[in-house]
Amino acid sequence: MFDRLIASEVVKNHMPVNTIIALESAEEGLEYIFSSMDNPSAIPDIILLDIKMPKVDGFEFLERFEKFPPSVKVLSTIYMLSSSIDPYDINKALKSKYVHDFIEKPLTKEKIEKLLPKL
Amino acid sequence: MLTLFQMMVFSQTNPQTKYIDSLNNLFKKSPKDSSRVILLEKISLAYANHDPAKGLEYADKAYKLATDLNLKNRQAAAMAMMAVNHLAASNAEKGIEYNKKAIEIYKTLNNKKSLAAVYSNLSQIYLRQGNYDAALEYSFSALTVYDQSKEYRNKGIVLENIANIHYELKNLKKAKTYYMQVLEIFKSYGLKTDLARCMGNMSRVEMDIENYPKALEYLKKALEINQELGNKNSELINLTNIGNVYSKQKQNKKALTYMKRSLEMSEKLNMKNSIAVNRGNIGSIYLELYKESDQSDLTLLQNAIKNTEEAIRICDSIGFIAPKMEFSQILTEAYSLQRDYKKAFEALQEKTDLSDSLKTVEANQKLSILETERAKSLKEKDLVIKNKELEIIRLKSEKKTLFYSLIISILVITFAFVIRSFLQKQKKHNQILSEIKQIQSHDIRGPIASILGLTALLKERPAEDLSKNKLLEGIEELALKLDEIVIKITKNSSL
Repeated sequence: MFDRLIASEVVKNHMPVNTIIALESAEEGLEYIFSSMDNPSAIPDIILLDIKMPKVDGFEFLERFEKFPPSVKVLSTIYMLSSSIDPYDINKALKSKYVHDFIEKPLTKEKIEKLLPKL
Repeated sequence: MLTLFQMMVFSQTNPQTKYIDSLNNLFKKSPKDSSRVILLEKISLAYANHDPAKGLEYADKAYKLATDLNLKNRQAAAMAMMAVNHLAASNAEKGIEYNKKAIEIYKTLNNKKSLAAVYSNLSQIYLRQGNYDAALEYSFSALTVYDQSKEYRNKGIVLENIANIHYELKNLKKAKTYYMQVLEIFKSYGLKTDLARCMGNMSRVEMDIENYPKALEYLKKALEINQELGNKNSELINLTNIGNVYSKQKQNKKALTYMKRSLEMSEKLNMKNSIAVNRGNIGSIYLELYKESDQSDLTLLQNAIKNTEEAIRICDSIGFIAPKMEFSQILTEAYSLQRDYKKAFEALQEKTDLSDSLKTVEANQKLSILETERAKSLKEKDLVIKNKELEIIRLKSEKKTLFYSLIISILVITFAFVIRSFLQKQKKHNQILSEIKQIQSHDIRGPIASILGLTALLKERPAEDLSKNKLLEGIEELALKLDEIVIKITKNSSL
């Protein structure tokens, strides 16, 4: 709950973005992408993906994201955003070819600024 | 040229009168029981070589005493002793007859050991007679007994006799094989006298295949042993045969030296058979020397005739028929060289009369049949023993294998069990650890991160109240401290 709020606020304050879509679960995220497939402009440029989420976690999101057509997948850059400092989680996240980086919570101005040049 | 070979019965005799006297003294003191009979037998045996008539007398005495005392075993032994003396007097038929009587008695007593000894003696008589099939039959009968007992010496002697038979049949390869086997037996049991005798007999084979250096090697070894042990009889036989080998090599002067040494010794021992053989051999060598001298030295021819005539005279006096044939031939040649054709013809006549005694073809056939049978039965016996041995080895190794594999499986199981429980523990441990890490990372650190995120956001906003800001900083500081601890714990619980 708070995490969505924090992330949205930090992104809104420090990143040049038009729209922020903050969703409570991975399932909602997947549904959103699926429904936006005919409208590529609606597909998010950046996805900040948490690991620990109700029902479907971040890793499962990645597995399902895989099944989208390449034309869709190409549009989004995924960052894993998690409180985890467990190497198991970090390695697993970085192994996925869709995850660009692992960001340790909390998301701050400094962390965003570090990422910006890569974007 | 006559080659002497040695057989068991006679090699043991000691013809010295001193020995007989000492036996006689013992006899006078002995009680009237089996020991007295045994002494009589011993005296009889001692006489055998140089006065068989006396030997027979004592054997007869022994027999009568044994009968008086009702000692069946000794009766049989006395019979065997008579056979020995008859044989020494060249009366083979009587020798066979008495041996067979001894066999009858021993059979009723089921005395296998003595039976085997008599079989062995009979075989030797038949061998002398040239009745090789009978000789072989009795040797194998004896061998059957010795195969079952552990009398290695007797077994060796019988095998040696079989070798002798093969030698007589000119089965030289077989003879050699048997002699080699026997030599091994005698060598391994340290039976020097027997070894020397067997080497002497073996030398005849080497002589026949004209391997004279080897023959000499055997003979000189045998001579050395016999001299060392004081076996005079054997020594003189070795001397004769060494002379023979030299004569075969046409080294007649060396041959003559050895023959004369041998003759001297046999005269000292008063061994008539041996004297006759040596005289005959010396005659033959003189004849050769005469021929070598281009028939110029008549004394050599005269010596040849003189010695050979003497040999034949002795043979006649003791009924020693076997060598006469060869001596007659030497005489025939010597007389004709002397141009005394009448005498030459007489000698030739004698030789022809003697020559119909040997009939080897028939004997050869029976020999090979018996041999095949024996080889077969031995093979079968061997096979059975080998199978049994293999079975035992197999069983043993099976047991061993079973035992070891059991131990190994137990070890493996134990080890696997230990490893497994260790791994299980480790796994559980790791499981707990990773669970802790997950809890730390998500359940504890999650909220902390949120607090930090919130405080960061709050700080970004303009402060309306400075004291509010201070409180915020307090919260942040405490959250950071908590986070530090969580991170430390998570990183330290290394996998």
